[in-house]
Amino acid sequence: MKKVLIINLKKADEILLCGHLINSLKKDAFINDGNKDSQNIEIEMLIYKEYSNVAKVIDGLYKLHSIDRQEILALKQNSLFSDSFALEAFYNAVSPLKKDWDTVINFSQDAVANFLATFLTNNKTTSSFIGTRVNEYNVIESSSYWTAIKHETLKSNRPHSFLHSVELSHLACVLPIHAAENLLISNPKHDITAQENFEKIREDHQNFGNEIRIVGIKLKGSRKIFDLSFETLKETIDFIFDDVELFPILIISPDDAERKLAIDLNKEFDNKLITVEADYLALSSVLKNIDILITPDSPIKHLADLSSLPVIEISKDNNQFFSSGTIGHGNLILSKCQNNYQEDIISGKDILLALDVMLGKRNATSIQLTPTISLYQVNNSNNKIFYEYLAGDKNIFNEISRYMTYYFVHKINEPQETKTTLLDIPHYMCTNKHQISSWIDHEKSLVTDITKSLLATLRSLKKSQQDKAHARDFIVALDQLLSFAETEDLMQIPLLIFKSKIENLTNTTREDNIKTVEKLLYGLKNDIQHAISCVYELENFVRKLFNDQLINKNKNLESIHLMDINRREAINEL
Amino acid sequence: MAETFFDIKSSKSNEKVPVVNGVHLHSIYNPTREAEGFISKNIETIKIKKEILVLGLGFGYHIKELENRLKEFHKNNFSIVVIEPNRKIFQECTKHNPIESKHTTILAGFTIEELYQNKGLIEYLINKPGIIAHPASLNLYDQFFKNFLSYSAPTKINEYVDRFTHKEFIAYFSKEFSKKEYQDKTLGALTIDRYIDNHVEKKSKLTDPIEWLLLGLKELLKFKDQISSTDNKTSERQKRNIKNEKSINH
Repeated sequence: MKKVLIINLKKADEILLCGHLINSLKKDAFINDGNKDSQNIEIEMLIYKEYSNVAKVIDGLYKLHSIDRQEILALKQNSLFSDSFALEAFYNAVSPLKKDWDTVINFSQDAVANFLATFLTNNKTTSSFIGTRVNEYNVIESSSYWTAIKHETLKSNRPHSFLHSVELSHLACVLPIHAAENLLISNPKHDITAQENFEKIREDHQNFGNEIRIVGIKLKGSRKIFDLSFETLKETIDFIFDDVELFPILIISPDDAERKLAIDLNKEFDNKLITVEADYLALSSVLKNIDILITPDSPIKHLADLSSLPVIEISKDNNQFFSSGTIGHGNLILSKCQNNYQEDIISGKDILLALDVMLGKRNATSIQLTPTISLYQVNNSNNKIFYEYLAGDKNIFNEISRYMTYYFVHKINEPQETKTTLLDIPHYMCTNKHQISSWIDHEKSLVTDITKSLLATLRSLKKSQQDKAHARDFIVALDQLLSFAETEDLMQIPLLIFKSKIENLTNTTREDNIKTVEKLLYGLKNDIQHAISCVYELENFVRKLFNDQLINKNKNLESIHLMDINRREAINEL
Repeated sequence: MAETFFDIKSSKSNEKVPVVNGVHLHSIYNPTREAEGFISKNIETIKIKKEILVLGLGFGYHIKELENRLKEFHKNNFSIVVIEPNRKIFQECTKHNPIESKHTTILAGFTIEELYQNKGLIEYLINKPGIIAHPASLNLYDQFFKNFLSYSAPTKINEYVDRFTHKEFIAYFSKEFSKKEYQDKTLGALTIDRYIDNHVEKKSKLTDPIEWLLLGLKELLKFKDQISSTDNKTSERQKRNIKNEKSINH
């Protein structure tokens, strides 16, 4: 029996996203074990107590452990109690987990989890550790390139997220992404009630004997800034009501503000709307009975993914959905080209168009979205998760930057002997040669600056080895080099990894440190070369593409010219 | 508790009334009716709180009435904790008017320090119970209850190090405090926060698993600030909790 502990000290979204990893761990153990016993792995998870109700709906967990941080905070802050109570409450929550594990996965990689990971695994009895943890020198250690990427991108708040957290966690665990099929636990009683109620809705609203599709609309996002405006919601419901093949259901969580919003919306429709109020456990039953979910950024999209329900996500955050959006293959995301939380410009019409695309009523190429709105589709296949642009406005510069960063991190990690990662620029990115060229020029110029800085750092390092008086020059040069880790481009990635290694130097002598830094600088040089080779690859790809297009164009012109000559000759003959 | 003059009288309604140092703890006419009136005055607290901390036991007439009223609002889902400084009162109460209910816990004869070492009571207080003070007991033991309500726990590590129930903590702090290199630093006189900031975080090498736990605790306690910057709803709730905690404090 393989025993696995997952540390996940984040919010509801991350806990539900972890459901995919749990599913893959179980299925992989099942496949690898060969004895066809799905119970050959026991997965336990450590979470914060306030998210117990979320974690309880994930299928495949053997045991759940929790830290009551509100209790610990209350004990720590209240002058009635000595701090020993807070300390012991924390210890009581985690010390039972200090035992022999086959694998410990630090999924959340947040500051608390990084310390706890070491507390729980430094007894040397854990066979394998995946994630980040704080070592004895109080610096972060990463188990792999992927966990380092997660740690550094979390820290840097990189604006263009490029790798989905589910893909990242699978890469870190060297696991294939297994498809999610009904990974939610539900209450059988709720299931029966929900099924009966929804069957009644389908009967009452059937369209001349044809079955209707029920569209669930989640009213509020996980944060206020993600909410859709009242007008947008009203417009969306209105459109769905008008469609005889569809029927809207409002989905709300047990929350006063959302309840009030549902009441206000219902008034606009003469109280004809049906509202379903459900907690996480009840939601599992509800989601089984609807056909499509429309939701702003909220944990319900992850619940829907775990139950394989088609989702249209309305994301006001163009960057974050690339790392934490819905991941069901074929699902759609409506977003803005630029982040602007204040202005609610995604209209009900945009949502309806996305719905039509999902239902196959319209082709994505034919729809006209509100300016600055983009429609993306989830491509979750071959162990990769990427969001492909479908319609609306697009920012080619950002798209290329995101795609190339994604390509680079996969390319640099693939084994020398296998060349499976191929540059396959999606067609929509190749529509504007000028913008692609501008991105390539930008990266090349950045590489020139970084290379100069890198060489200057190496030179000053050599000098400081010979004469300690030059140590200051070396520090200045290194500082300047590290400042490139603040950029928001492809080249940021090798610099981020380099920076993390520099920050985590644990050597005790100056000589050892200098040797390690020198080695790291050469490593950075290699990574930069890899990155620039990706840029050249793109340049060649685009050049070939546009040349081919030009040749085809010329061929077309030639054939038109020939046709013209033939026609004239025919006329003359006549 | 200082020596007291203790007497038991019978009320006109033929119920026993304790008299301590000449103070009658209940009505000499009808203690049960008096209790009904007293509890009615606290009905708003009883409606919203399932957990009630009562200061003063007397002979428990008000406790029995409190149980009746709590049952009305919360069925069997409620609990009462009674703090009584005088052990003799508790002993006499169990003889003359015993409170035999699974809902009520009586903590009698403990010092304030002992009470704040009681994990059960601490957990109870964390849940922010409603507080009802029995007026006669409050008058009699005014200073005790004032001290109980305004108690401040020791903050320096060496003031509470022996109170840890896990030997790992005692062993760790004893080992650290006795190390030669730290003896002049009087580490024990630091609060835990300063100990983590000035000692653990500055160590060139972490050695004991407890140190990772301490650093983890420091990060965990930051979550209040993280919430305020990301989630308004949760932040509001958190602020309310802290406010409630303070109201218990005072």
